[in-house]
Amino acid sequence: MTSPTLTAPPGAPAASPRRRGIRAGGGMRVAPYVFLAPFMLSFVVFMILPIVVALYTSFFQVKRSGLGFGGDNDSVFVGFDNYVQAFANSAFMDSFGRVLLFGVVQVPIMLALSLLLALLFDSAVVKAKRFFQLAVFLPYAVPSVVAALIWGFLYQPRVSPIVEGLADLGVSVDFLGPGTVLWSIANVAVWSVTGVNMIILFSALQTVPREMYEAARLDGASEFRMAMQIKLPMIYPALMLTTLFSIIGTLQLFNEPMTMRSVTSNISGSYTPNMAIFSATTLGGNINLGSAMAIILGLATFVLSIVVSIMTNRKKGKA
Amino acid sequence: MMTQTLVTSPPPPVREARSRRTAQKAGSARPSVLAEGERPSRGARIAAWIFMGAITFYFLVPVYWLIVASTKSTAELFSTPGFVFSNFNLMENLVDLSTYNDGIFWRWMGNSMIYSGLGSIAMTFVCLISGYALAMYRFTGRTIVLGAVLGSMLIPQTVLAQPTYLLLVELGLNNTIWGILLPSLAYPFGVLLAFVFAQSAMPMELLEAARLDGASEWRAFFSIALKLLSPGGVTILLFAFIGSWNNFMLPLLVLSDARLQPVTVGLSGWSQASITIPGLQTLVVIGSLVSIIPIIVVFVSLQRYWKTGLAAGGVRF
Amino acid sequence: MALSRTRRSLGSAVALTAASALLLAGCSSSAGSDSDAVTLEFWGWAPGLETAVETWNDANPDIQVEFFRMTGDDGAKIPPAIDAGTAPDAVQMSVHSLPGHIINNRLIDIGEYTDGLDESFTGSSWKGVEFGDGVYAIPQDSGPTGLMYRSDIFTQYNLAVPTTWDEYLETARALKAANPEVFIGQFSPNEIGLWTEQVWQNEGTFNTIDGDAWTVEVNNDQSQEVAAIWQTLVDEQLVKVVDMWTPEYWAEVNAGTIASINYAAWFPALLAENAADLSGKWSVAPSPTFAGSDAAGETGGSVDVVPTGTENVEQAVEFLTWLNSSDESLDILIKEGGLFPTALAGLDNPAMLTEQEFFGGQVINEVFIDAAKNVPSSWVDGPNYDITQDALKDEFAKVGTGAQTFAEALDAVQALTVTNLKDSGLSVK
Repeated sequence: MTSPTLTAPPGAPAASPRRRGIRAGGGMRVAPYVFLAPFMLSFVVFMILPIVVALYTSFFQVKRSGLGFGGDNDSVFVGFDNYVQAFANSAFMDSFGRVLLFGVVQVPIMLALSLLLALLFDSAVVKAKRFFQLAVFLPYAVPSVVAALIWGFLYQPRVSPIVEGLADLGVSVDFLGPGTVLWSIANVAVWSVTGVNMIILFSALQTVPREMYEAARLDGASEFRMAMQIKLPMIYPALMLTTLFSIIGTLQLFNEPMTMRSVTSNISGSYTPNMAIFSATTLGGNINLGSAMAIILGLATFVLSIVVSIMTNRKKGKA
Repeated sequence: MMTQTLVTSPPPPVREARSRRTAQKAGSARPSVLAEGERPSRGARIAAWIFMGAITFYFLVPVYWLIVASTKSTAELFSTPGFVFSNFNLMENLVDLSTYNDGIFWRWMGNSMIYSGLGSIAMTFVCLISGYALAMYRFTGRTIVLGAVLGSMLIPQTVLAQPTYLLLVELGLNNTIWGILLPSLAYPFGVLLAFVFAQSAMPMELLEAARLDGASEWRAFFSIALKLLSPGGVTILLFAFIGSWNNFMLPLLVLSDARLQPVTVGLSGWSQASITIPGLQTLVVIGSLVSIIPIIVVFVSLQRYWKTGLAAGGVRF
Repeated sequence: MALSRTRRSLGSAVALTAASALLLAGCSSSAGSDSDAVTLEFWGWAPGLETAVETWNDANPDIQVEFFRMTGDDGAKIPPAIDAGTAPDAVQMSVHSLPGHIINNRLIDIGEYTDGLDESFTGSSWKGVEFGDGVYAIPQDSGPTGLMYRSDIFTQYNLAVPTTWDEYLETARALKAANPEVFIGQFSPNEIGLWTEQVWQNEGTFNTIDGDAWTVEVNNDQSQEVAAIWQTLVDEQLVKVVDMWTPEYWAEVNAGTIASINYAAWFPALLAENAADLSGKWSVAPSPTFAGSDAAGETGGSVDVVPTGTENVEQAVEFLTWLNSSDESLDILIKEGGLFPTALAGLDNPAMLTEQEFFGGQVINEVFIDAAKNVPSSWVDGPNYDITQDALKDEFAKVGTGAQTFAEALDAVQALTVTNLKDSGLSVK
């Protein structure tokens, strides 16, 4: 699905593993397996196995009757019953709409900001780059628990210097209202992840051969035109990667809204798909339903990733 | 750096074999080279300064608030303006933080250092050797592994926590450091980075030359590849360190003993408990500030290395 | 998955992973006592438990207790720990979460060890731990309600302390007329305790047991009566709409915009700590009552359970019984931890009758002790209490913003609770 992002760009060094040089020696055949063993072992045990367990669990239900006291709580196979329940759960379905809306707004803004910063850092316009890069990157290092705590203070009336300051200017804002809280969460997300995306885009920009700019400059191209016509196409794969990761991150939004719930009741228990899963599993104690919901979320993420890949590839083809 | 201690002597051919392009790229990371030919107008510079000032304000204001809040007593936290220093209580707060519950906070910090330090080094090594294997060898199952690595990034973490916990209990690893370290070794993002990096940083010819010289595959990796991959390794190390420092769900489930918890889990516990023990509110604030210091140190000390590392072809997808 | 149900003690877990012991040398204290001695692991959060456990350990060399203090998130790991067979031998938990754990076979019926113990506790608290023929916990503390109010504000505006909910509404209007900036109380969508205490006082409940089926009572008549009061308070803007426990909330309290709060016996200590500057300005009166009744409200407290998988059930119950009903232990928990006990002996403990400086020297527990003895035994927790509570939060949030009424919120939660119970395979009438 994301294979286009993996193919080496044109002009990459001859590092392609397709070159099958010398094929003698048993070591060569065994080596990759030995090298991959530690990763594959932990990968299979701690990723594949849990997924298999979740998939298996999603097809069962605990058999109870009456009040539920004193039963054996045996699990019985129920086919797709849990999936039907999950799709019938309107709060769960609504949460998808909410994160999609969130993503449609937050992802472009955040990526545009990351890209703009990366372009500025790549140009000669900005001085003191190391300091500014640290400033932009720092929020990424702040644990989401702490980030939500800080922003919680900055959003609340009475204790927030921002809200109070605006109030003194005669502007009344409610960052935590039912209509605004989604965007307040988006702001925390932008604040947290812009840095890491900026870094990825910036390092991609740094790999663009400088001669390309010289030629463009001789042709009299403006900095803006160079950014749009040379730099952007050259870092297209990195842009693609950050876009995909951002979309995945949006669908799996959890930490920020979960921790911000402690400062406002306008974030419901099923605000995002992941929160709905958490609620079903932890509060509802229904791990079967939770597993089915998680599988649905995983599949939705998968489908969306493919759709975005195809759409952006088609666009690129036209350009 | 682990990579440097492992590589005994960098073989001379390595530098020779690096493509001209790589060398040029490494040089281009220096701003002086960048600036050549670009002469931004004065207006553009002023505009850039204003923009960067605003951006820095946006990104640093919450951190500034945290610093100010760290110097306040609990009562002042709720009753004085957030951006203005009040009575300077920083020392008292630090003492409180260090003595509360027999100084368990520093124990948590120590735990985090152990988990993230050991964990990220092990993760980096595992990622490098895996990415290298995927980039340099054609073998049965390679496509499947690559697909699985990519696909696994789509899995919601919430679904993995509970089955993983049950598994760790079965293995007898709950409430031990291994219960945190072993699952973290499955770090697909790092493997992906290492794979892409190895593709561009490690020329196939080099491996073939080493083989002709009679080096074993194992030796070729340790004495040649590891050195070439170390800039990419620094990037992975940074991501791995931040990732494991901020890891929350798994330690919460796996470590029942509060004395084994990392600092994020401990702080979150305090934050929730501050509902009933208000004095904790101050400790959560100052604890948060202290807890991000190691990450800043790691970032700043790696900044020079990993920037050139990425620039040398790291994230070229 | 076939998980072994045998509990691994901390000691053997460490032995199993010898390598980790090397790395974490000194982190885990392994139990190395006499062969006959039993070591129990106990998790709890009430202040003062450490001292109580120490006292017990000194007197009972054969039953040694290792105590672990729980903080915020630790409750989340109890269910997986029990399911994995690694849970402690005794755990403190909210009384409301009992049925949910019972239907998942996570708790041991300790009925055979508790003969006659019911007489040592208040009726309402013991009722909370009995389900069917079983006893699943020992009650620890409770939260009977009282009206904490700003005596200075009431004096300033010449208001009498309301004794009924009708009077409360009148007082609220009078206060608003006198000073629109000051509210008689708060509506906090995120604190369901402020709701349940009043439903409980009105002899309502969220669930009952009808033969072999659950009933859901979230929107029954008793609840509707409470809803009517709140609808008036919110419609006429007589209460401050603010989420509780937030910095904003404490800022409002400190600013003096909230003149009273009807809440549980454990709240005064928090009030005193978070609004220290208001010391001497608060008093406590009995909660306003419903017409024709002198019943008091209750938020429900915490209990101590013995999780499934524990080998030393009898010893665990012996310890928990001592912890929650002996004069020796209650003395410590009341004096050191400010516990509001459920044991009758605890309510009679002289340490309860301490004068509180924050409340102008009032012996506030006199109010709460009277309340504790007047709590109706109507309340029954259902197996999906957490879901109901979370749904109430979400729906009340919409009431707080004016998007719907309390009656609509209750209907929505009623429907959701019924669906959820049925989805769990339980019978609902």
